[in-house]
Amino acid sequence: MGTVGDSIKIALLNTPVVALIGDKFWEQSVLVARAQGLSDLPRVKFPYPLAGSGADNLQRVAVAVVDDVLRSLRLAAR
Amino acid sequence: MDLLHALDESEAREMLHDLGCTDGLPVVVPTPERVDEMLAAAPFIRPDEVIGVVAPRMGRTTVTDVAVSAVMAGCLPVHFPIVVAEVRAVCDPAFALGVVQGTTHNAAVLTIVNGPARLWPPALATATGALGPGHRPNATIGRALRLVLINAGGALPGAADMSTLGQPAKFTCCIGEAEEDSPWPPYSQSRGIAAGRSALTAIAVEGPSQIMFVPIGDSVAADAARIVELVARTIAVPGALASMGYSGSAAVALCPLHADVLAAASFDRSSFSAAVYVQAAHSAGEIRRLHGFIRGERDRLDDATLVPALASPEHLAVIVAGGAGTYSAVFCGLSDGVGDAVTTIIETDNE
Repeated sequence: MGTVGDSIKIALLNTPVVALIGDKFWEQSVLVARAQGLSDLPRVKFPYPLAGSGADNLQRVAVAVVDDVLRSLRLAAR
Repeated sequence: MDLLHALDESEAREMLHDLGCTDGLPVVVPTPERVDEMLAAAPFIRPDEVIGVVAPRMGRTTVTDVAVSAVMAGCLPVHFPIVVAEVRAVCDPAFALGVVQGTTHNAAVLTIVNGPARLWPPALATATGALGPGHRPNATIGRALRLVLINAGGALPGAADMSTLGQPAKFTCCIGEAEEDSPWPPYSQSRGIAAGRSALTAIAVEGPSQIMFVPIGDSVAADAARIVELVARTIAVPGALASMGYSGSAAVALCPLHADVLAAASFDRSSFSAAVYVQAAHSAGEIRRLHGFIRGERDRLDDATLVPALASPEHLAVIVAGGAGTYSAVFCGLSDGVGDAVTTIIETDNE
């Protein structure tokens, strides 16, 4: 919720942004982005939860999503 | 607004459930006639007036939309202006409704009614069991707000409402202040509302935690100090958002007995809040030990530094409510700037 809201504020400043969304919160992110008029807000999904899952898992998830994050930021920058 | 068609009441009710328009309990079918009757009770409010934008779906909500939810909730038309005031309050940007609706916290909306509107017959319950079952005005006025939050705001569990567990107060949580049993002026006056005016305050809260205290009677001052400490320690309960640096709002419903003890010890609402604020705190070291971090900490705090659970004394909503007995209740809030108390006038034909 806050992630999407904050990302939209950044996007409206014409700053490339991508929102990282836990998969359990994906549906909510779609609703909030659409309601706030930015349904194409760049978002990247990661498996929830990350908190408390350990440094190794954080590393694995980061590696798995980093290409999507960079791709989304490059698209947003155009 | 679309008009749905059904063969009978039963089919209409099931249709509303299937469409995700209810709180899970049976609703009164909002036929055009019933909605018109609701609106007719408040001719001084224009049916097409947009009351607000209900986050997170950002549905523009008119008075007529609110009337639909009021009918569904089982409200009596006489109480409709109170429901309108509820929606106005939560749509105030200061309430940050989008966060309140979407958070994984179990935030419900406590609405407090002050002034003559409490007494519009049938009167809101203010005394024995006021937050419990059996009081139609309290039950339905609070429920009507929840239905607005669902239907205009999209607050269905798992969609926009991501509360990890939820809580029963999300069905309804509305109370009138027991002004007649209070040693202090109505709570709404402390919010800047003139004496004699009807007003409603909304604040986002967890469920109530009881405080049982039988005055010991050694001295009024000592008993009052015990009440202050018990309220403060209940607000700063470990695990509440307020107890890890979020430092937001809270509400306390003092039973008349406890309020009288405080008043006899020369506390007024303001000095009571100030005393609670000082004591409702955790040490930085304790927060760090239990939670790993302190929200908002930039420069590392010494372990002994006290972190307040309330953003300020004014962030404590103090009302007098409940019947005979020795139980008050604390409602922990969220973080500063999220679901803080918003007070609005309840419109009447005398305005």
